[in-house]
Amino acid sequence: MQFNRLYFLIILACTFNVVHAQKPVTQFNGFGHLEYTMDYSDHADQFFSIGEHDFFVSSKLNDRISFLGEYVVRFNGNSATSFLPSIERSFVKFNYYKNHNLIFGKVHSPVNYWNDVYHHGRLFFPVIDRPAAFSYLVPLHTLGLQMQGQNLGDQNFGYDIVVGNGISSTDVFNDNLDMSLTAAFHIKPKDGMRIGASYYYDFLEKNASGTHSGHAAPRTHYSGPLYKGALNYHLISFSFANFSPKLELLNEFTYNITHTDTLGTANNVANFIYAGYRIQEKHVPYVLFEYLKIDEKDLHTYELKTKKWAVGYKHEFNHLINLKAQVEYSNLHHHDMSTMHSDKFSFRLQLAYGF
Amino acid sequence: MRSWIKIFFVVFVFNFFGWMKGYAQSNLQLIGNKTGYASIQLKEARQVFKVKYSTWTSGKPVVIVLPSPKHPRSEEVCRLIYETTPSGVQKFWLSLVFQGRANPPLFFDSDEEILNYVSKNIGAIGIISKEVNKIDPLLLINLVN
Repeated sequence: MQFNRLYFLIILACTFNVVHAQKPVTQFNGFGHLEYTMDYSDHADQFFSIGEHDFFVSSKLNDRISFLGEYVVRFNGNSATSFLPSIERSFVKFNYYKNHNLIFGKVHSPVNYWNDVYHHGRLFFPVIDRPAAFSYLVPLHTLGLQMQGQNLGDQNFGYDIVVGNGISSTDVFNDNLDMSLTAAFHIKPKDGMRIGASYYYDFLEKNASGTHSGHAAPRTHYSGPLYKGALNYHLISFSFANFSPKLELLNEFTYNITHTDTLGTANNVANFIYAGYRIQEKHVPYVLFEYLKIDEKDLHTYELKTKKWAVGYKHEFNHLINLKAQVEYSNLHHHDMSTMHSDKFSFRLQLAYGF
Repeated sequence: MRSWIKIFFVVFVFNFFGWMKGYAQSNLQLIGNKTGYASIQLKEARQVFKVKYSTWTSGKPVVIVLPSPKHPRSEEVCRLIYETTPSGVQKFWLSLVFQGRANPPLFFDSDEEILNYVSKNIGAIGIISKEVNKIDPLLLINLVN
């Protein structure tokens, strides 16, 4: 008993010394948004909504190791309280050599600029919504191991190689040996500009959508029988971003190939383009256009075609709060349209904040 | 056609001297603790403060120390190093930290606090007023254009 007490005190003392010596630097942030929407399709409606609220932690554990966590609470009608929490990111980063890092945990799949830079922080979004491809094609998260390099050489070359749980897995389990693979690279030739491309591959043994897909699980546009066989999932992305002091441009191109033994190869494509012009630092009028087409032979996302045009205005009160106003027209085509509105006009306001 | 060339020349000269004046009149000095730099070009310094490097050549991590918006010279530092406003610098860092690609910098309200932190932490780099006296010469980094 005496020994145990002594042993405990020694461990406690050592722990205190280590913690005291390391002086971890921890930063907490919060992000959230509120919205007002007026829609007109076959009838008009208007409503206020409370958006995702995001609790963000970053901590430097020692000279080489840091932690980052992002925890989101969002509306979910199936929950008893109408809201559900989720862990969106949680990883430990080890800076092993110069600008090269090894990351272990749940990350945003670094497939394109948007998913790498914005994700849940609406404060940083140049427009109100993510590109439509995020709801259908882009695997939002990966839980696994990531090799990352950044700002290498004159062109600020960066790479991200990720091996992790794939689209069908959850945050704690994967029912087969297959892992997803992401290989991405980018360059930043000047301040504010980033050009990148990536390739993502996953083998879905039973074509299930787990927690990492962020897409296809609800399949609100499709009500037929679901395909339960094996499927190969390839995703190629290309991003161009230029956020100069005046002109802002972003193009996200996504090309997705799915292959099944049943219907063969399906080719899906999506493109999102945004252009804004900053006036006197605070005012950014902008336009956007996006297009998404899912092949009729696709058995993961299922056939769909959608377009959206929008014009908007962003007012930045300061770096912690902004207001966006957007008028948009969207159009959706699918053979199973009994419950869907094909054309929609909307006026939307979004107040996004961080602290 | 020639009048356009004259206008371009006048605008260029005006701006060139404007830029030079802005830099020459800068009342700021760089300080760093074992960064490996005795002098540094402004362009290179800007890259350092924009997280071009995670570590110094010694292997020690780069620690960025900046004036907070309450600091009297915050505007001057942000214009010189980041070429934007203090709010723009806060936005730059908030976005970068949120991406998980950089550790947050340290913000202090006064030159004394910046100097005190840099002098006690190897790998730290900051920028303070030239009016501050009694700086350890080993901490000074000559900023050249």
